[in-house]
Amino acid sequence: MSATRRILAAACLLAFLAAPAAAGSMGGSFRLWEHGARDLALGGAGTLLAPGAESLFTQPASLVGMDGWEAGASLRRLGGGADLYLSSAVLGWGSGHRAPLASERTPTSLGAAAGAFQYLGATLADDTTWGEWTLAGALAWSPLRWLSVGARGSLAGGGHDDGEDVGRAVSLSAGVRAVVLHPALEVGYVAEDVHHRFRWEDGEDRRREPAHVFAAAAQLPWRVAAECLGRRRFATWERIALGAEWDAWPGRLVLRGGLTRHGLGEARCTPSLGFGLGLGDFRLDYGAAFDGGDGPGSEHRLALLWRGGGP
Amino acid sequence: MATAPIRTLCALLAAAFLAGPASALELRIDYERAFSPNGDQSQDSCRINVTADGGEAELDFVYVGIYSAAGIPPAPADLLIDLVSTSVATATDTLVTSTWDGRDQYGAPLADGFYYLHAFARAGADTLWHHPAIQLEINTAGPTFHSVSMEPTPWFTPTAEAADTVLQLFFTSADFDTLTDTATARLDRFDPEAAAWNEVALVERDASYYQFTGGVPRMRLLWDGRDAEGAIVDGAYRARLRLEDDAGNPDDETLVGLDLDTAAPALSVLDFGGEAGGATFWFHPDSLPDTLFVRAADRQAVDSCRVAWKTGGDFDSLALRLPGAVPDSTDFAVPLLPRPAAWVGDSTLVDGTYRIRLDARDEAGLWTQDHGTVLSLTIHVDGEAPPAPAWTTTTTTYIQQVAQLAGTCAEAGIDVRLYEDGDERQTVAVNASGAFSAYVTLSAGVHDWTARGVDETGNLSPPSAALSIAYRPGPALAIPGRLRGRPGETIQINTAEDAASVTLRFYALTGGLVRVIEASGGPREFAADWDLRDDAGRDLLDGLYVVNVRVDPVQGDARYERKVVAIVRD
Repeated sequence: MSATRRILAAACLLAFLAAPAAAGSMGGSFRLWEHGARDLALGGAGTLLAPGAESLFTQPASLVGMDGWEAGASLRRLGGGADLYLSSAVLGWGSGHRAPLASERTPTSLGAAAGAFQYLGATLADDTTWGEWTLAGALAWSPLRWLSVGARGSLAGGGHDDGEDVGRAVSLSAGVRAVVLHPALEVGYVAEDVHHRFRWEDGEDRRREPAHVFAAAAQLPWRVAAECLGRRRFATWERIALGAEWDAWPGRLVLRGGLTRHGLGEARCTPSLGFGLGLGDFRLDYGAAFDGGDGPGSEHRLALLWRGGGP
Repeated sequence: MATAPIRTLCALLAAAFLAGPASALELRIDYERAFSPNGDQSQDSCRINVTADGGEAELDFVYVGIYSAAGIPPAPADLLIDLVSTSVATATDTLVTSTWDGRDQYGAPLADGFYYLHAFARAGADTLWHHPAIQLEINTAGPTFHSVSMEPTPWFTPTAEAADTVLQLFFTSADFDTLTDTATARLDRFDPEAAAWNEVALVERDASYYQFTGGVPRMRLLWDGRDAEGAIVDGAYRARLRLEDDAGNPDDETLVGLDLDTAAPALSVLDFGGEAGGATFWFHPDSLPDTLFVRAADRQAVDSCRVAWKTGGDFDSLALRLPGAVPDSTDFAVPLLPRPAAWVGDSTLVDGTYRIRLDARDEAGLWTQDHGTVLSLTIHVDGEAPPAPAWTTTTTTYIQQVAQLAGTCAEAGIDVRLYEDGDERQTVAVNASGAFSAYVTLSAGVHDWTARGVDETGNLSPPSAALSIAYRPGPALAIPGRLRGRPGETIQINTAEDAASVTLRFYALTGGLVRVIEASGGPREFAADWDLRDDAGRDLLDGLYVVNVRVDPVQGDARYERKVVAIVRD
C-alpha cells in the first residue's frame, strides 16, 4: 500500500469516527484534560508547531515533534475559591527527527508514541472530596515530511472518594496536521472524543458529543497560532483561541500570550500569559488564564519537561 | 210580518235567482264574521261594507239584510232585519256601509248563534245579482275551559317509551263555537335555585284533533317535552292554557301542572364506615362495616333499591328502605353482615378487592341503570402494612428553614407520614412512581427525620432509616456537592446583607459557561434549583462543574464565590 493510500485510508477512518453516532452531551469530566502550561499561556491554541510529548493531550498528530525520549509533568489549579487541582505526567518517544531540509521549520520524526496519567481531585461544595484518574496512550505517524496523523485512546475512572459512585469512561480521538503552502505554515484538525462512552457502575452509557478542533499556526521569527473548537450538534463555536510565542532569549526564555473567546452562554474573552525557561534538557513552563468576576476563576499551570535528545 | 216592498223584492229575487246573475254585475262584501254585542266596548257590533259594481250597467238598487237561514232566495219569514235598502241614481258602482248591533228589526237583542247576511243588487228591472249568504256569529259568552286533562300523568317521561314521547293536553270548552277558537299553551319550567318559573316552550292546538265527548267538543295540544332549544330537561313544569275567540270576548286562561321526569334516582354513599360520598373505600379486614347506607335522590319518591355484589353480576338483593330525612331523597341500608356469599363463598373474608353495585327506581318507574349511572363501589380490604419508605434526600445541612425532603416507597398511592424526632409533622402522598416529596419546616439544630407509610386502610409501615438534618440559619452558602437531579436538591444562599439578586453560573471545566440561573427569594434568603441541563435544555454529562455564585448587594459591589459540584445521576 502506497503512502498516499494509507493517508486516504486514515482520513476515511477519521471521518467515520468523527461522525456522531447518536446525540451526546457536553461538559462533565472523566476525560483527558489539557496538560501543558505552554498551551494555557497560548490561550489553548498550542496544538501545532510540534511541541512534542505534551501534544498527547491536545493533538496526537503533533507527537512526531519528539526527537527521542521526552517526559513531562504538570500541575494545574483553579483560583478564585474553587478547590480543584490536576496533576499530570507524560512519557513519550519519537523515532528521531529526519534530517531537516533547508527550508523546513518543524522537523518531525517518522513515528512517535506516548503515554500519560492524570489525576483530577476536587473538594466539592459540601466539603466531600472527589478524585478521578485517566490513563491515555497515543501513536503518531508522519508518512510525509509535511504530514502527520495521530490517534489517542484513554480510559478514565474514579469519582467520589467515598466509593459509592465509581464511573468509567473510554474515549478515542484522532488528528491530522500538515505543513501547507509555506514551510512555516501548519494546519491541523482534531476530532476529539469521536468515541466517548461513560457510565457509572450498573448505570446507563452516556456519550460525549464529539468536538472538532481546527487549528492554524505560523512559525515566523515568533510563533502565532489560532484554533477554534465546535460541536456539530450544538452548532456553535465553543472556543476560539489566539496565541503568540516569542523567544525572548533563544534557548533560555520564551514569553507567551493568548486570548480565548468562549462562545457558550454569555460570550466572554479570557486573556492568558506565560513563560518558558530552558534549563539544558529541561524546560519549565508557567501559564495563567485570568477569568475572574463572572467567570469560573483564574487558572494556573506549572509544567516541567525533559527532552532526552535523539536516538 | 214582511212589508209590501219586501214581498215585491222577494218576488224579484226569486225571478232573478231562476234567471241567474248577470255576469257583469259584482258584489264585494267586507265584514267581521263574529262579534259580541254585550256592551264591553270590544267588537260590540258587526261592520259591513258592500261594494256593488255594475260594470257597464247602471245600478238602481242595493239591498243588505240579516236572516236566520242561509237559503237562497231567503225566505221572508227568516228575515231578522233589513240593513240596507236603497236606490242608486244611475251609477255603475256604489258603496254602502252598514253596522249591525245584533238586534232584530224590533230592537230586540238576538241570542248567541249563527246568522246570515244576504245582499242583492239590481241594474235595471231584469238584472238582479245575489251574493252567496255569509255566516255571521253573535257570541257574547266567550271561551271558557270546561275541563282539562293530560296523558300521560302524573309523570311525563319523553325519553322512556314511545307512548310517552308526546304529552297530550286535552281540554273542552263551554263556548258554543270552540272550533274557531285559538288555543295555546305556554310551558314554564321551575328553576329551584331562583324559585321562579321560566317560559321554555309554546305549543298550539292540534288542528287535526276534534272529538265530541258527551256532546262537548274535546280538543288537545301536543308537546314533545323539548324546550325552545330542543332540549329535554327534567323538572317541574306548568302549562298556561289560553283560549281566544274572534268575537272580541275576553280570553280564558287556566293553569295545569305537570312533571317531566327523565332522571332516575341519583345514588350516593351516605355512610360507609364513617365516610360519605366516593366510590372507592379501603378497610382493614377487622373494620369492614356491617352496613352500607346509601341515599337515592330524586324529585319523585324512590320506591326500590337493589344490590349486586359483583361488577358483572345480577342484582340479587334489595336494600332496606329507611325513613326519609332529607326532602327529595330516600335512604337505604345494605346489610353486609353476614358477608355476602358472592364475596367470600364458604370461607372468611380475606385481603382483596370487592365490589358492590346499586340501582334504584323512582315512582315514575325509572331505574338508574336505564336512565343514569348505577353506583359502583370498590372496596379494598387490606390488612397488610406497607413497606418502610426510604429517603432519597442526600442533603443533610440546610441554612434555610424550609427544606424539601424526598424519598421512595415500594407501595405507590399510599401516604407517608413524616416525623421529626418522633413527632408527626406532615403527611404526603406517594405518587404512581413510588416517590414522595414534601416541603417541611425545620427546627434549629440537628434532628432525626423518619418516614412511615400509611395505606388507605390505616396500616402503618415500619419507620424509615433516620435522616439526620441540621438546620443552621445565618449567612452561608449551601450547595449539594453531588447533584443527582432529585427533588430537594436546592441550592440555598443566605446573604449577610440585603441583596438585590443572586446569580449562579455553571461552568464546565473547559471554561465553557453552560447554565445561568437567577436565584429566587430575597432579600437575604435565596434559593435555586438546577435541572442539570444547559441553557438550551440539553442534559449535561456527569462529572465536575464549577459554580460561580454572584451576590449583588442592594448597596456595594458584587461578590463572588466559586464551588465545585459534581453531577452524579442515578
